Amino acid sequence: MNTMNQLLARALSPRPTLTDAEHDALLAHDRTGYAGLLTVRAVAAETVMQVVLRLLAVTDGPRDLAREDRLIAARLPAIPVDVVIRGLETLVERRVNNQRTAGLIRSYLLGLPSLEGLAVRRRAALRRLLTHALGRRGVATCLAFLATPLEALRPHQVRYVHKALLRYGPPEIVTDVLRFVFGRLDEVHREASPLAAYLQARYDLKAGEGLPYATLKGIASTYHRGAPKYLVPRLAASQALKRAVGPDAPVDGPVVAAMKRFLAAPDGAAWQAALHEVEAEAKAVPHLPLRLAVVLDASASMEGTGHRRHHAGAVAGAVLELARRTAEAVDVIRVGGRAHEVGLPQAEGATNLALALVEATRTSADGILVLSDGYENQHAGDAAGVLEALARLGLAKPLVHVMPAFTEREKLDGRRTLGATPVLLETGERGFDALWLRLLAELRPEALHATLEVMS
Amino acid sequence: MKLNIWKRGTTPDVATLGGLVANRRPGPAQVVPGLGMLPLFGGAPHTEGVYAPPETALRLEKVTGYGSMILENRDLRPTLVPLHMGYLQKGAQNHAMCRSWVLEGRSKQRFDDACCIQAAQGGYMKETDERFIVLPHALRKQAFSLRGQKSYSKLWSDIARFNKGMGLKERGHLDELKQRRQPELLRMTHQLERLPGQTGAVFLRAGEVIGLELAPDPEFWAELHRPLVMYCYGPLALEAPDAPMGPSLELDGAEDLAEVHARLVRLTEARTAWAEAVLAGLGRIPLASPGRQALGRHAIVDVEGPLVGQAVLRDGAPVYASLTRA
Repeated sequence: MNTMNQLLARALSPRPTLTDAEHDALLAHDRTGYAGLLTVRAVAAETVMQVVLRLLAVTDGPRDLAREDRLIAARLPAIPVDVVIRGLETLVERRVNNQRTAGLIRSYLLGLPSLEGLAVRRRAALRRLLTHALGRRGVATCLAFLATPLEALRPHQVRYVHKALLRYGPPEIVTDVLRFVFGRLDEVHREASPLAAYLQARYDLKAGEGLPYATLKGIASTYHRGAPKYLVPRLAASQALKRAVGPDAPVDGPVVAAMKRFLAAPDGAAWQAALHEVEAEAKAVPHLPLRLAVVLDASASMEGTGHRRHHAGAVAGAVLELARRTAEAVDVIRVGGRAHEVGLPQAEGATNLALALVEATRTSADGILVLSDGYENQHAGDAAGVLEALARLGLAKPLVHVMPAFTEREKLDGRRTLGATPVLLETGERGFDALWLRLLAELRPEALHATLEVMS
Repeated sequence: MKLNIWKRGTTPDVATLGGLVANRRPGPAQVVPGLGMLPLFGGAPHTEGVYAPPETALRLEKVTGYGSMILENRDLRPTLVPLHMGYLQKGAQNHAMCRSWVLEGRSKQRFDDACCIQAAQGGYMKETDERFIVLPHALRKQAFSLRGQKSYSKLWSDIARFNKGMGLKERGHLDELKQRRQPELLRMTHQLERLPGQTGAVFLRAGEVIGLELAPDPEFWAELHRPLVMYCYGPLALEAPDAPMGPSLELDGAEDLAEVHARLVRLTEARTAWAEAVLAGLGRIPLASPGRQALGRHAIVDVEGPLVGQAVLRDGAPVYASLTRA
C-alpha cells in the first residue's frame, strides 16, 4: 500500500491517529478524496473536525465548494458539540476568518438545538467564537440593536440583526444567548431555560439544579462561598459517560441490533429482519471488487457474557452478510459453532484458527477476512506460525483481521493472534462504510481513492 | 435373586487418581500463554440431570456471623456445593467455603467453618448475586487444610500474600483481585472455552497437572467452568507465561500448501495422543483418602497426595472432584 493509501486507511480509523502534517499531506495530494472522508460515518469526530478545518482554511487550488459545504453541513451535526467547539477555536487561534468560516461558525452555533445549554457551559468559548465570526464592531452593533425589542427597531436595524444572527435560530433564544454571553442579560422569562437557571442560581444555588457540575461549581465559588460542599455534586446534572448497553441499545446500529435479536432468539422471522437491515446497509457501503475467503470464528467466546452477550457474534455476522452482498464471491470457513436451521451459527467450541487459515488459502479467493475476537486456544500461536510458513512459501494472500469490539477503546492484549496482520476493530455502532473502505485500503488499495471521490 | 439394575456400593479406587477419572475421556487441549486445559467428557453412569447446576440452584441465604454462612438449594434436585466456592459482595464480609457438600433439593445448610475473605470489612452478607467464585489456586491448599476450624480470619494472611504476589495491595481482601484484574480474568474465560458436552477439565501449567475438576454432567459444568477458569486457575496465567506444552507446530521444511495442511492434521493427532497420555498418567498418581463423610447415598472423600481436595461419590462412583496440586 503506498503512503497516501496508508494515511487514508489510518484516517478511517475510529480513533484519531493522523498528525497535522499527515492531514496536510492528504489534503495536498487529493482534496476531493480528502473531503470524501466526511461521508464516512465511523471516522473519528476529531478527524472529521481536522478535515473541516483544512477545507475552510486552505483556499488555494481547485475546489468544489458546493460539494464541500454540503458534506460539512451534513456531518457537523452528527459529531459531539465539544469537538466542534474545540475545532472552531483552532480556527480562531489560527486567525482563519474568511467569509465561509464566519458563516459556518454563526450557522453552527446559533442553530444548535442545545444553544442555551452550551452558553451556560462554555460561555467564554462562545464569546470568543461569536466575536470572531461577527467582529467586535458587529457584536457591539447587534448588542445595541437587540437591547430594544425587535418591534421597536427600524427596518434596516431588523435587517442587520436578522442577517447577522437571527436567521440562524429562534430569534428569542439567539437574542438571549448573545446578551447572556456578553453579560447583558439579567432575566429570562422562558420556563426550563438553562439561562434562567443560571441567572437565578446566582441568588439561590438550588435554582441551578440540573446545570453542569463545572458551571454550578463556578457559580457557587463566586456567589455562594459558604454553601456546603455536598450541594454542588448533588444538584449537578449527571453525565452519562458509559456506553448504553442491552440488545436494544440505540448505539448498536440497526444491523448489529437486528443480528443480536436473532442470536438471542434464533428463528426465521428474526433472521429475515436482520437481512432486511443488512440489505439497507449494503447500499451505504462501497462495492468490494474481489473474491473473499471469510474465516468466521463461531467459538464459545464469540457469544460473550453480560452486556456484551452476542455482540461479537452479531458484528461478525453483520460483516459476513454484508460481504456476501458487496464482494464478488465469498467462501466461508467456520471455526467452531453449531449451525442453526437458518442464519448464523450458535457460538460454541474451541478456536482452531491455524487449520482454517490453511483452508482459506486453498480457496481461489483474492483475499482473506478473519472475523474473530482473537482468542486462539488450539493452540495459541499456531495461527501466526502458519502465516509465517505461508509467507515463506510465497503462498500468503492479503489478509485482514476484523475484530468485533464492544467499544472503540477495547484492549487487544494477547488477541493479535495473526502476527503482523492488520487488525481492524469494528463496533458496528456507526455503520460499516469505514470498515469497508479500510478493507479496500488493505486488500485492493488502488480502488480506494476513486471510491472516496464518488462518495457524497 | 433380585436384578440389581442400579448397582450400588462399589468402592472407589482412591489409591490413585485413575479411579476418579475412569469414566472420563479427554478432548482436544486448549493451550494459551501460562495455562492449558484438557477438557474431559463423560462421567459416572446414570448421573446426567441428577444434580441441579450450582449457580442456578445455590443461594447464599445469609451470613450469620463471621465465618458462618447458610447456603440454600432452591432446586428440587440435589446439588453439589463446589469446593472453595465463595461470594463477593460490596459493603459486607465476603465469605468462601472450605469444603464441598451435598445439599438435597429444597434444603438449607449452615457451615461454621467458612473463611472470611475480606479483612477489616464490617457487615454480614445476605442474598448475594448468585454468581460465585472459586478460591484462587494459590489459596486452595491452605483453605483445605483449615476446614473444620472456626476462625473467621484464618485465611487473611494467605490472601495478603497472594495479593502481594499478584501485584495487588498486600491485605486480606480477595476482592482486590476482582477489582484490579477483572478484565484480564474475564479474558481468560474467553481464552479457555467450554466445549459442548464437557464435564470436567485437567488444568496444566508448564506441562504439569496443577488441577483436576470433575462435574457430574455438562449442565453442571456449564456453571462451574467460568468461576474455575476466571478465579481459580486464571490468576496463574497472569503470572509469568510459561513454556508451550504438548506437541508444538513445526512447519520448517514444508514445501507446499498440501504439506502444511498434512502437518497440521498430524499435529492434531499427536496432540490427541498427548492428551490421552496426560490422562493416563493421572491414573498413576498415588493418593490417600484420610477422611470420609457419608451423606446418605453420597460420600465426601478427602484426598491427599500430590493433589489435594475433595471428591463426592454417589453410590461409590465419583460424580464430583476438585483437586489442586499441593
